[in-house]
Amino acid sequence: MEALPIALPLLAAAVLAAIGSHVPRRVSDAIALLATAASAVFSFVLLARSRHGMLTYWLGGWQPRQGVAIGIVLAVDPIGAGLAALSGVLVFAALLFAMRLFDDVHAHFHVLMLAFLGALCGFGLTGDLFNLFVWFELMSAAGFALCGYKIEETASIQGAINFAVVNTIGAFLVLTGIALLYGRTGALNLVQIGRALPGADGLVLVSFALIACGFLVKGAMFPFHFWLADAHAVAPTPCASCSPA
Amino acid sequence: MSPHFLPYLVAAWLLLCGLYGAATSKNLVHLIICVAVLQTSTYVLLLAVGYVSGGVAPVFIDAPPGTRAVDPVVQALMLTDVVVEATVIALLLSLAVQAHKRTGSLDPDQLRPLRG
Repeated sequence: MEALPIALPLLAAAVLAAIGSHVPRRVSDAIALLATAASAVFSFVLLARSRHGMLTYWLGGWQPRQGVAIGIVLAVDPIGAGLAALSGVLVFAALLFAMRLFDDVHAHFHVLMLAFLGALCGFGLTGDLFNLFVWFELMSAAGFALCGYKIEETASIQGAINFAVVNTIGAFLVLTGIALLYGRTGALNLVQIGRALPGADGLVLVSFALIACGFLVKGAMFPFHFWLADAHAVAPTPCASCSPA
Repeated sequence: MSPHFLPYLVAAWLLLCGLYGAATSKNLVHLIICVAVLQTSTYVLLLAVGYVSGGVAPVFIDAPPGTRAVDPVVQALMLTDVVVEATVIALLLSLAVQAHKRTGSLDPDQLRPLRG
């Protein structure tokens, strides 16, 4: 149940990637819209259920033993579920808009949007630091491809390359921070990291700064915002509407 | 200096080299290779974090449980990192190919639309 908002869009993306070029446009539109709507509905259900306390789900049944978590956990709190629900609604609206906007849309547009949504939901629901990075990168990769969607225009290529290089460097900073934090605490589970950290010493501050820098680049916060103008000016409108989410 | 710190110095050096190259690059392929160099610093760092001196590979088929072994978690992280970044580098290179097709050059400045 907790994994459904992530699994449904990714499953639909895989199906569309396989059959998308053999079915008419309306069918791929319908599959994409259906998966997005279902993901948003499940996110809202999770949002309602998580009001009474955090829901946890261990992927693959890898439960922690003696307080040590090796597996990856989905930890659903109202903020994470709300983020997933918001992304579901935004992507649904963008897909509806794209139905009319693009005349010659190919199935890979739907595949990229669905992968983007799956990654956004995963980003909101995960409770594991490295898993956060993986969703972040999946989201970025789908975002780069969507940004360069109109590949015949040089401005679009320039925007996509800028976007991709700056965000990838940001992602490496995040990963460096995660590696340092793992070296200090021996844990990737967010709760376990919190328990293992006695206080903020130099190494923890450096890794926090690296992680915060990476996420601020991705979020285009003030000192790291310069890539956003290039990317948004050229991205197709339905893609641009989702990328800040 | 203790050899224990060497991998961390290598990782920091690679990070700085990659950043410097990416910031000053005048060629898209050079830029992408610099990003790839930047990425290798995370491999070195992850493996250094999990290294145990005298440890064996974390495969316990022919070694008794309790043998000193390096941390398998960071190796899994590094493999995931390789896969993720191969995707990104491939995507970037395909964009560079498109840029070369449209403008006939790999200079990032040629990609800017003309401004009056």
